[in-house]
Amino acid sequence: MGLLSNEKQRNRLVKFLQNHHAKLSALMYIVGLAWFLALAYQPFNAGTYFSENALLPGLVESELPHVLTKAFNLKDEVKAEMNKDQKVAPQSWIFEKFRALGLDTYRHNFSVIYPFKSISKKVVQGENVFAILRARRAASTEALVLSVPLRPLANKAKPQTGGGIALALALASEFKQKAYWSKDVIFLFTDYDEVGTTAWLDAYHESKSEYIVSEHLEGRSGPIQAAINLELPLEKVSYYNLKLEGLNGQLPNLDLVNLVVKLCRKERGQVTLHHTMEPKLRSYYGEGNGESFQEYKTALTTMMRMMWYQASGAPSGNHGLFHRFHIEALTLEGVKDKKSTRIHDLTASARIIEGVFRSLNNLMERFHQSFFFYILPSTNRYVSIGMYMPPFGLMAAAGLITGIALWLISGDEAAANAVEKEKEADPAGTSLDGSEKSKTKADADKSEQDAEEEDDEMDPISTTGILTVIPVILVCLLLGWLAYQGPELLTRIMPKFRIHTEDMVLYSMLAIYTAALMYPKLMTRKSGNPNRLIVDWRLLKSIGLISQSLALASISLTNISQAFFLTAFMVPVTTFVRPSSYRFLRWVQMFALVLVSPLMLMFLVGFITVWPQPDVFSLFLEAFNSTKELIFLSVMDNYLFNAWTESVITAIVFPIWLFFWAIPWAEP
Amino acid sequence: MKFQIIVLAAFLAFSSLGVTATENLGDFFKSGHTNNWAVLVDTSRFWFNYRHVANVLSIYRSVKRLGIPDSQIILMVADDMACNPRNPRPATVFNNANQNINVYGEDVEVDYRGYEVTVENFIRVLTGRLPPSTPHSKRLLSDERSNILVYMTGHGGDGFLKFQDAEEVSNVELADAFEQMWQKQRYHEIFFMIDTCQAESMFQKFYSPNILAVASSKVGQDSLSHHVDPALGVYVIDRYTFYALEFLENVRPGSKKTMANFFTVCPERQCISTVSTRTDLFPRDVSQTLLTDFFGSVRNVELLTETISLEKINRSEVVRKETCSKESCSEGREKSKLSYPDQIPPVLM
Amino acid sequence: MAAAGVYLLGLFGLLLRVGLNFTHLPSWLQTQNEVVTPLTSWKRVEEGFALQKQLISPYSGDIFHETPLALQALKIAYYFPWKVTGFFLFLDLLTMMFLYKTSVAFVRHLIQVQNEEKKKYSTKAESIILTTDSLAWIPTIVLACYSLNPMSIMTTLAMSTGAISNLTIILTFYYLLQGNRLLCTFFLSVSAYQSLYPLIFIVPVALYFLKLSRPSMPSLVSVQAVSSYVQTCALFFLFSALLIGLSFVSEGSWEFLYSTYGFILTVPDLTPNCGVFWYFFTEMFDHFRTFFVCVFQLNAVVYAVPLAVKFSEKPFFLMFLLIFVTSIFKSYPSYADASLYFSLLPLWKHTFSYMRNTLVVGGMYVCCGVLAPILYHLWIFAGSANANFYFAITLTYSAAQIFLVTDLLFAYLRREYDLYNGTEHQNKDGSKAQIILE
Repeated sequence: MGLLSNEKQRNRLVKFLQNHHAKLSALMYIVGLAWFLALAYQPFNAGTYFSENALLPGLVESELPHVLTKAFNLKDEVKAEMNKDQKVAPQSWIFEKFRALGLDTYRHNFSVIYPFKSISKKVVQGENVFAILRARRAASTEALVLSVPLRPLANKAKPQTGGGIALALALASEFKQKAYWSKDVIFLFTDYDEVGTTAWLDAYHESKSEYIVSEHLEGRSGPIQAAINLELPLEKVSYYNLKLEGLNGQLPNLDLVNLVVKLCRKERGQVTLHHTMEPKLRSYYGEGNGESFQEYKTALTTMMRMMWYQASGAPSGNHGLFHRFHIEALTLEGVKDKKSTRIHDLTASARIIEGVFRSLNNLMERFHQSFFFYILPSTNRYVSIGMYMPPFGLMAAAGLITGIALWLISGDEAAANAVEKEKEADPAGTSLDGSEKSKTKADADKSEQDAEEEDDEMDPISTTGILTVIPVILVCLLLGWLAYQGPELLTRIMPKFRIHTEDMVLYSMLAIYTAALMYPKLMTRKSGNPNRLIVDWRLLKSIGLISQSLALASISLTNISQAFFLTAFMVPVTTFVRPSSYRFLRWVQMFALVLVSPLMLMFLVGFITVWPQPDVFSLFLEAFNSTKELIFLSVMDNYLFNAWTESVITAIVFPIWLFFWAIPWAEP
Repeated sequence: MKFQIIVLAAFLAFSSLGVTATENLGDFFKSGHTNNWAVLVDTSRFWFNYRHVANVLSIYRSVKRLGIPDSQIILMVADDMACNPRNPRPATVFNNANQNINVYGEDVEVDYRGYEVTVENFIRVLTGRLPPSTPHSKRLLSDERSNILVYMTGHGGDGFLKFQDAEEVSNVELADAFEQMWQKQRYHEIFFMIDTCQAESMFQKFYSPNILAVASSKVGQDSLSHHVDPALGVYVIDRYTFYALEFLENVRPGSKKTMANFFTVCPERQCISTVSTRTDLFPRDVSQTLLTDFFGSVRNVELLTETISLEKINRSEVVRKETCSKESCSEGREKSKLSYPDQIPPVLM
Repeated sequence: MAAAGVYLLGLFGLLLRVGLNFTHLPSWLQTQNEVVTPLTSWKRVEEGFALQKQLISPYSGDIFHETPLALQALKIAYYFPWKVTGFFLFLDLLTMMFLYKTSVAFVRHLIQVQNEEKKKYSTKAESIILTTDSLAWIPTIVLACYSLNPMSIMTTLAMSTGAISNLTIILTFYYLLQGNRLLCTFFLSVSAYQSLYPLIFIVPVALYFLKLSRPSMPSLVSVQAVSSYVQTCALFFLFSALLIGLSFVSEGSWEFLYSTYGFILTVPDLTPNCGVFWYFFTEMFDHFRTFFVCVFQLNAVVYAVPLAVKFSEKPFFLMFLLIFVTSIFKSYPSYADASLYFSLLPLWKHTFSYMRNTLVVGGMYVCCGVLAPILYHLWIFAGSANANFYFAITLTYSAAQIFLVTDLLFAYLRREYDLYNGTEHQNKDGSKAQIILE
């Protein structure tokens, strides 16, 4: 108890905090940010390795023929089939093909109910096809999945996956002849990408979703151990690209990623993360000198791209939905690059998949050995949770330090007021150690936050004290709740406006947002300066900063990238915002705050997404459209896949931001 | 010590007979054992430990070839690789990528398999403290004239060897088990051979006499696997065992190769780890100790020119005299009147 | 003003609970291990009803752990408007009423004790002497601490039967203040019957009734004292025996003893909760288990002895400390227990100014509340974290509770010291002195 009850040491610490918190915060933020970005530099991260013994990656020789003729024939068939009707995917053809191979083949129907009920009772029908290759000498107690999204030719928005279909068929006929399977292999073809995958997974695990209704599965295997999602075009590919980011920023076990990378390398395929070509001089285990600035730049780009996708909380491919059921999964995408001279045909891809599946076949238990929390600056380097948490912690603690310092200061101030008041009342001045007493009294408020009534005796027009803060906090929370429920509420209330749902969602968000911006104005008291909000800004800010740190810490546990970007943008502004008597400073602060407000951040994201545009006007237009789409998608993801991003932004980040929004309005 | 004196005395006695005779007779009797046993243990399961199963089955094959009968080999194999669904060649185990020899051939008798391979069972087998119901094939029925080969392979660390990914035997436990065997006169000499990481640590605590030990690696070293069979996709054998087998392949039952020769097997450039030996508990000179004293079952036969007449023994009398007191015999007689129970209860008939 | 405020507060608390009942919260909370334990889960009570309906003894399985009389009594929940939810809201209302009454009586008690002792106080301690004004708000705060406390709200929404144990303990406390030995021991035996640990509250109860019967400073070990203890204990055991006897009659066998008290004492269910038992006993080797179960269980009750020696003159503070300590160290703790001590905490508001670590402790509580469900999700559902993450949080939670209770203890003793020695402390050279707890 020494440290906790020794008053002298504590007072020294408190004094230090009160006097230097601003400098300390700035220092911590800058060091934290620099450190985080430095993690991409090779000497600061580590080389990947396999920690799962059972995988035995790449030890086995391919048993496929030198040229997989079947695949090439099938490729032409797929092409012909797809061209028959460009608007539909060839489910029936795939079904027949697999049945002809002698696999347990099933169709799986599902329907998607449009979440915004008011607009229409629109129901979209979809059909998945899946085939189960039963392991001959095992009891169907475990399964692996090879999934291929079905995309009709007419769908130009996303790259074609015909190659994947041909490959899956060719592999199925090859795999079927082998005696070495210890797990069933499920070939899954999903309609409407993620929606189909969700429907199938829901049906497989007999869980229910509100908006995706799926049929009962007729055939099933054991628990799925791992899944590979294949996006291969019909043409030859120049390199392979990995997509890892799952729903809510969840990542597959690093061993699976390593496995796929290793197998691609073994087949001499180039493999990238988010299309970043890595310098070739590095050897596989990363012993080459990755220390030049050029290489650092590449690594940082890769890391930032990965974090960018992870931060969205949306799955970057079909694999992302598997994570929800604790199934390790990733997407292997074949990319055609006209500039590249390397060419891999279907045989190469087939060998990669064969190798991956034979390794997975060796698994004895679920992936559990390696990391689940990591960031990759390249395909063979990683930054683990132990490495990225300290710099992130520094950045997030920058706000916390100021928050605590302000808490102490506001406590002192309240105490000073109390002493003054007492002196007025009792000129003789009872000799009590006022500062100490009231400080701890103010602290006591915190420990049971519901005992706010404690300070009731205070003067009602006082500009300090908890009572001035509570209404603001309540209003902020209410606005946050409105923003959270907003889209649904508005679409339910106003079905008659004939506008696009996307616009509707955006406008409803905008409406709530602008209303929220006005709340300090509306809350100003009649008495006193009409433009000034009467609130104990130190207390408010300290509550805001403390809850912000807590929120960021919580987010960082599930989605470090989201937490990192939020911290990087919000913390500097929220830590240093304060009321000012200079109009200019006030405006600057308000501008800075608006810049880091959730909606503006969304817009920024849209902006970056469409970045290279011919002129400024089209840039803004595109950015606006992209933001609209982004918001709509995040709302839809929330409904369909239970993605948290929208909830986190509206129900947590937004109200906390609103706390800070009141501060420039307050009396300095 | 006592034994040494006897050997010395015998040697002095024989030396008076003449030089040539001395050498021959010395060769003839110096080992001092009358029977050979082998305890071969693979302690690890799972497909990726295929090589350990191959190790132990290869050694099994060698000692059998050199003459130890199946009845005197206790083979403990922790997992069934031959029937693992991952095995592309069902019902076989190979110890080499060229797949010449299926070490899991027709005549393999596994005494303890799968989950029966536990530390408890292993120690019980060594010390003979098995439940009465245990069949003979699962017992180490050695005596004070038995030479025992103990071969172990699996995953180990400094001072322990893992069993089945669930428990481990420590070097102290093992040393105590050997001491118990010595006190119960269950062996004459033991040759302890172990192929695992930090294998040396397993014999460092031994303190019982007449134990010779060899390990694939020193403390702090890993023992490595030899090569992969790309058709199976697993490592098929460990380095030390591989080279030891290579050596054993050239040994015939009448071979004059000594333990000293065997200790030179697998130098560091081949093994990568350093093979470590322990000879201080072993009274004989290893360069005079034949390899077949442990790996084979060499029965020396002495031909005599004169006839020996043996007394005729009335068998039934002997049995009655020696093995039963009155009560137990009467019991035995009652018990002998056994009959099969009715297949269908009489009520139904 | 105050009365209206109180009604409003209570009403607001109830409305809040009613409102939250329409959200997804209740169904979610019913699955949260920090809120419901195997002992307090309503789902298990329903299972008990169902088993009974099938004429199967609810205690033959490993699901149901309520006492037989509770099983009978809880059936009335279905006769309330709005069924079980209504029943728990009603329980909450009762709890609030008695909490308020308790705190009013307690404030009166505080002033009374102070008046008796005033002569002995230091003249320099005037600033910390209690006045009716300074205590006027305590009942309201107590009520607020219950009606607005997220923990008690969660307990109600999750329909944890911990609410019943809490009510009986509050009733014990109330009748203790009233000096009603019969009812006090009755409710004490009910609460001990229901959740076993309140058994040790017999210590403060016996001490207080001794004090009541002989106001003129009796010796704690005299003959009269012992006879007073015996009377209290006899009443308590009489009621307990009655309750257990009735249980036997209603159940027809002694099977229930193992399923209820045995279940509490031997800790067979290691579902993670906000205590530390589960982690230790999943890690523990079986042959140490019995020993450590004994150690852990003793740990929950052993503090009664030193505290009773120290606070024999302050039975209410002693009782509160025991409530606090048992809810930290009991085998299946939940937020229901925390909500009880949090709502009684403001009774000692006059010592709060001596507390040192409120910011740290408050921060720890909030962090645990937020992070526990997240880490549980990452461990169980996402599969990316593991048990150690969640255990770290439960350990922090326990540490926060221990900090709070020691801090309160220190504050109480510090205030007592100041009462008798004045608030100004000076070293011999005249400089300001600092008092350190060692």
